[in-house]
Amino acid sequence: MDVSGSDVKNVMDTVAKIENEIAKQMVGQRELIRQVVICILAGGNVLLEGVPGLGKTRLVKTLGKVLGLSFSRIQFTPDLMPADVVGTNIIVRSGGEEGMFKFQPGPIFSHIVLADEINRATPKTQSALLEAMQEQTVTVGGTTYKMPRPFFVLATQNPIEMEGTYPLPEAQLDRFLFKLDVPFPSLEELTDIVTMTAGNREEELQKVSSGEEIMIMRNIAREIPVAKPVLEFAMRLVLATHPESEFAPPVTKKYVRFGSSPRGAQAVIAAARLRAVLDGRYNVAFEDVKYAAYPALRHRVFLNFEGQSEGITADSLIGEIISALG
Amino acid sequence: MDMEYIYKSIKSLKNRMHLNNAVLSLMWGLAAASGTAFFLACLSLFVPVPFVMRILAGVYLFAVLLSLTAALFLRPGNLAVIKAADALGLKERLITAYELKDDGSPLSRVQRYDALKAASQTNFKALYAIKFPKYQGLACVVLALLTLLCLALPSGAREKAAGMENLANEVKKQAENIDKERKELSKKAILSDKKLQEINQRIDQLLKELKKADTEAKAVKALAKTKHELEELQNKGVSSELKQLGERLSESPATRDFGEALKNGNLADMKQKLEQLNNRLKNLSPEGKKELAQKFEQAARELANSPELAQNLADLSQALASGDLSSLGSHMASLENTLSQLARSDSALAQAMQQYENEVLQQLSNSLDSARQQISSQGGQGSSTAQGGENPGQGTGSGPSNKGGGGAGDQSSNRDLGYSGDESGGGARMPGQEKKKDYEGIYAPSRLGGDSSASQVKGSKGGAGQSQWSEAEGAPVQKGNTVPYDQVLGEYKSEAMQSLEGSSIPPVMQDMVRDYFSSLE
Repeated sequence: MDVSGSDVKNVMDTVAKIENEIAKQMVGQRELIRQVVICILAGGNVLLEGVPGLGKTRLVKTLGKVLGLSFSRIQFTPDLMPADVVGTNIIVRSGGEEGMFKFQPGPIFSHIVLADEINRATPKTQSALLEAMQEQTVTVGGTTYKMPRPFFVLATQNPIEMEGTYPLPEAQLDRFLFKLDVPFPSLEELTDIVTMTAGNREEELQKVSSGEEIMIMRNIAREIPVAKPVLEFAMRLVLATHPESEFAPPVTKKYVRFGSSPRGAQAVIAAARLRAVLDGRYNVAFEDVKYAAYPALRHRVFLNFEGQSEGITADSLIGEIISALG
Repeated sequence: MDMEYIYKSIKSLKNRMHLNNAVLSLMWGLAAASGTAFFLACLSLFVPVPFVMRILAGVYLFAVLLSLTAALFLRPGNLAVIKAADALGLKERLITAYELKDDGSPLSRVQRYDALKAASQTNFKALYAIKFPKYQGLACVVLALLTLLCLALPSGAREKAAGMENLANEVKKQAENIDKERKELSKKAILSDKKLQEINQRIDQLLKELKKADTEAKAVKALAKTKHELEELQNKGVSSELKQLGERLSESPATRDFGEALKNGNLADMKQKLEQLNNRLKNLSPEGKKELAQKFEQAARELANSPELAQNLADLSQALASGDLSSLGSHMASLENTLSQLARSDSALAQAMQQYENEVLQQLSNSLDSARQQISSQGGQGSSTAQGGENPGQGTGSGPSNKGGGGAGDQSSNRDLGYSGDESGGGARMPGQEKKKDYEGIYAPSRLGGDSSASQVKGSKGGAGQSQWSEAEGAPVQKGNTVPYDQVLGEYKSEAMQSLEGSSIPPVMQDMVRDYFSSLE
């Protein structure tokens, strides 16, 4: 694909419009919005983590409207079954004929799927999302169904320490491109949130993009060149999360049980490319890699007991790895 | 877009990086030089290192030149500058452009343009400061201060080194004088090329040895050796042709007187004897003339190196053989003329040699004497030279005689007579100070029995018999005086010569003793 300077500029403009439109419904959280947009344009799934009431669901819904994509929401509960997510074959009779099985698609068959409070469902139901998230297909009764393009899952979860939650299996976590922490709003933001939502005034949202446009922007972003030193730095960064790696700093060796999978490296580069585009550049810089490392790796690094007991966070660990690599 | 535009846009950064490299290189060089200087300064506290300041200056100069030369080759490459520029806020634009330089896709072209634009808008002078390498600078300062401290500390080795410096300076100065005199001698053109060449060879050898000489003894030895060689050259200078002819003519009774005069090289005597020979030839019998003619002819054949003299002798021989007495006179006159020229040439050579000895070599000897005095005086202040304070001196003395005898040693051996060694003379001559003959003081004992001639008793020492020794208080010991050594040199020399004659000493060793005393004159 031949990408010109104007194409890159269009991506920048479109993303700016998307962000501005979302900002009409979302108070503050600009960085969160930026990261979600990056993740969507990179073709990944997002795991949003935060306490209830921070606007996670609202953000996803707004995003669906702004992008003009079909949107479905699945509220994950402990009794939710996989078939409730992906759909099931049902017997259909019409005109006295013999009944035949017909696939009834589940709510997952949308462009944007909001898996709300995903960690409240059982692991079996959570795993129903695996194939859809990775291969973007669903197999039911021996038949594989393709998901609409673009397809991405935006899952929200409450912190694991809260009651009635099931930790996501590592394999499923790895399918999320980003894990984003939703911060609690500041005083001013909280005031604005209350002002906006407690009244009758409702901002009208405009559709500023489309599925095709998103696919084009995704392809454009993939053409952004990455210099060899930058690519090597990203790879060293990912390898440095492995305690047995030669690049691992002491902090990794001390506190990490497992490091990031190769999907982490892919996620870092993909996100770094988009970050460069949104920054108005035609190349990926070290700072893009560093920026992408936190959301792309924080759910892929698993601390050992010592790290957990000492209160080490994945973000602090990644920060120290970046410092160690220079 | 060509990468050259990008290279141009980062040229200012490249220059600044080069300057930084040069400063760093220079400071590393200075730090290394300071380390070396400190080591040398420490070393000079224990080992004599002459001209240590000059060496230190040379070390610093060498380090500066080397580091500046290295700095020429420390110009950073484009890739290094690109990386540095990216680190200064260009966000890897340049390195990406560099990697995509051969890519003609629209995105690559846009990227290169973006990189060029960013580079052109960046003020590298503000972002990239010329850094002073403070650690290297601090090391330089600390090491330099330590070096100065070391150099300020007094030590015996340093005093010894100062003495060596004085000697070397003096030797160098006198070597220049010798060279100057040699050139003057060449200009005068009174010597034949061959003689001059021989003298030059010896002088060159002397200059080499003087340059190598690191002690007074070696310098004096080289000087004495050359002096001896020049003396030999002078002795050899009396024309070998004349001697050869003289030998030949001495064999015949008719020409014996003339032959002796030729051997002596005395021009006046030669003329007189030649006149006598001329008169004698007229009265000579034909057989005598014939015999003489053969002698002359034989001599002419032997004098192949002197064609003019050979021709004269051949003419004379022919005239004698033919009995042509009329032309005999003119041939004798020609012979006299040729002999006079040869004798004058020898005389000129002798004169030149004498002049050389008297003026140049004497001047050199005097200069080296002066330098030696300085060394000696420094040695007397505590260094362990042979003339130093505690070492017992060696004296020569005569045996018992009816007029008494005395011994002469150096000053340190006479402490029992109430003299200490610090009476030695000879101070360092300051630069620019007029040079004067300042002889080292030497102790001259008075002989018991007053002024009288010493007698030599010959004999051999036997192992038999007994000897008793006792110390007598109040013995009639006469003290002497410390006088400049030139006042006693003649006396000591004559005693030494007498001892040489009365002792069984190999001729070579005798020459060494003679040379030694000659060098003191």
